[in-house]
Amino acid sequence: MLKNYRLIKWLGLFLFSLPWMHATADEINWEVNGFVTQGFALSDDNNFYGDSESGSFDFRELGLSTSARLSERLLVSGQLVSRKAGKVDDGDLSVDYALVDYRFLEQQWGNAGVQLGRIKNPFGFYNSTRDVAFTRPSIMLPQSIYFDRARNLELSSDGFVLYGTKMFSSGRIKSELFAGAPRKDANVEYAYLNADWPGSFEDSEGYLWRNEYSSNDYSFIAAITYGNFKLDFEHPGTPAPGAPGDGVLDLDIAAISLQYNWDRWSLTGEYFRQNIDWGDIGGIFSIKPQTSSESFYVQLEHRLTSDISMFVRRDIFYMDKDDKDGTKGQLLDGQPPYTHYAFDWTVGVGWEATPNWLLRAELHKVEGTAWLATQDNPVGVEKEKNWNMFLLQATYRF
Amino acid sequence: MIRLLLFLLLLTFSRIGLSEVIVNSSVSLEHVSRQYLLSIFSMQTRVWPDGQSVRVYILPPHQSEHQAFVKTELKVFPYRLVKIWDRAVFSGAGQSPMVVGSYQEMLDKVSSHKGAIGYMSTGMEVGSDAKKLQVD
Repeated sequence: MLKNYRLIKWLGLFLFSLPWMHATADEINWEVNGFVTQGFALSDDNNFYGDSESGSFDFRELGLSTSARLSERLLVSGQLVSRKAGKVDDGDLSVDYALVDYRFLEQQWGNAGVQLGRIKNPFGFYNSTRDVAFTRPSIMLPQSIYFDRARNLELSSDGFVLYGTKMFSSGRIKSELFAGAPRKDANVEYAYLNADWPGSFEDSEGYLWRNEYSSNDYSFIAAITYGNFKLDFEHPGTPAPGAPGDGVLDLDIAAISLQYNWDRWSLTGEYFRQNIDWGDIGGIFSIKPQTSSESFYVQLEHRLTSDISMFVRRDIFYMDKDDKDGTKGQLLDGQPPYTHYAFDWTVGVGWEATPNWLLRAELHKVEGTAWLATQDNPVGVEKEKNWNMFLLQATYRF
Repeated sequence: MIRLLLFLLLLTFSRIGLSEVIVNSSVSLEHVSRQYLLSIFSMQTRVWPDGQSVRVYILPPHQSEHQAFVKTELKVFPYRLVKIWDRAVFSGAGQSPMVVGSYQEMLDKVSSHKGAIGYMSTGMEVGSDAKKLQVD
């Protein structure tokens, strides 16, 4: 929170100083963009985005972004986001990104630059703009990969990115290498330690390397992301029996993303592997200190007109790829087998009523509860294996 | 008969609908590859090879003239271009192009701003402050 506060202060100082700079507004190209999203969730069992079993309006996203070109090669930008999502996100304002981007190489065959500050984690197809409804293919991103319950870890980090694009006769390759400290909070504890234990993740460091090939007309896009995060958990004093103590949680992640685009159709698939090593954190995690999770989805979108689109998606998540039916997991944590996986069928429709308005509706038919947030579903055994959910969303952008 | 007239009228309009790339005369390039042109209009290129800032002007993205330009000159689906802009804008990596209301305004802006690039319908006269850019 303190870091957030400092960043907001710097961003504010910077924005207020803009009018006093020597460059004219015309030259620095100052622009402001924003969005407001309101959602509604209704489920027959289990809670998502609030108390969805009784119908929940507890999903709201507000964003305000700004950027200015201080010189030919220097761009500064920042975005404030407030997100309310059930008990997972409380709607507090946070700095989503705040960065300077310096383009040191610019040629007809490609370019290269460096970003410094709080930066969106370059990961998969959607992570860098996941909270901006207009950039998502659906209301909810595939939860197996873009899990909302530990989103701050995936979201953005304080550090730097080196990036470069090289053009070839058939297309282009863009490479981004990030290093820095990913954000962490109590939700990360829920996601990786199953509860908000005494103590917290004090330090974090990590790197991500993303490479994307796109054909000349962007009809084919393929990306590979590889990375590692280390989260340092610190417990005050001696932990109670079963509780985690001091130690480092080590996450290896790898993602493969593929997309084909036609005039009216898009076919998208992503595969994600995460190796979690609880190391010497101990407590109940010493029983099985290593797990590999597996996630993938396939999605087909159809654009009926330039304003109306539909999609169907199958999203699969195994918390432990060596225990797909969750029976071993049940022996370890006492939770029903179906809490260790989730299979989600989704169909949805979107309507861009005007260039500023986007309305969406979607239906989920889910087996398993692995990506449900503990915060919204505190009692494990009350989670139902088969459940359905209906979502609505309205977004305004400017 | 009316249908035939309408058809002929449409044909004429579709001829007019063809567009050409124009740049401010300060830009030293005379011709560019299609790939580089797409890199510029997708807001991935920030600086011209001679070091001055690139300023991109477009007609409203939902307008048919813009969509025709994107399809025929940039050879990419217009919806892809919007996604590339949005991704850059909302991750802090880039800015959006500047939108103008008409070809005349486009010509005015491109003529009066150094490093500016835009497009206009074939056959329109450009003054001495702007020039046509050949696409290889």
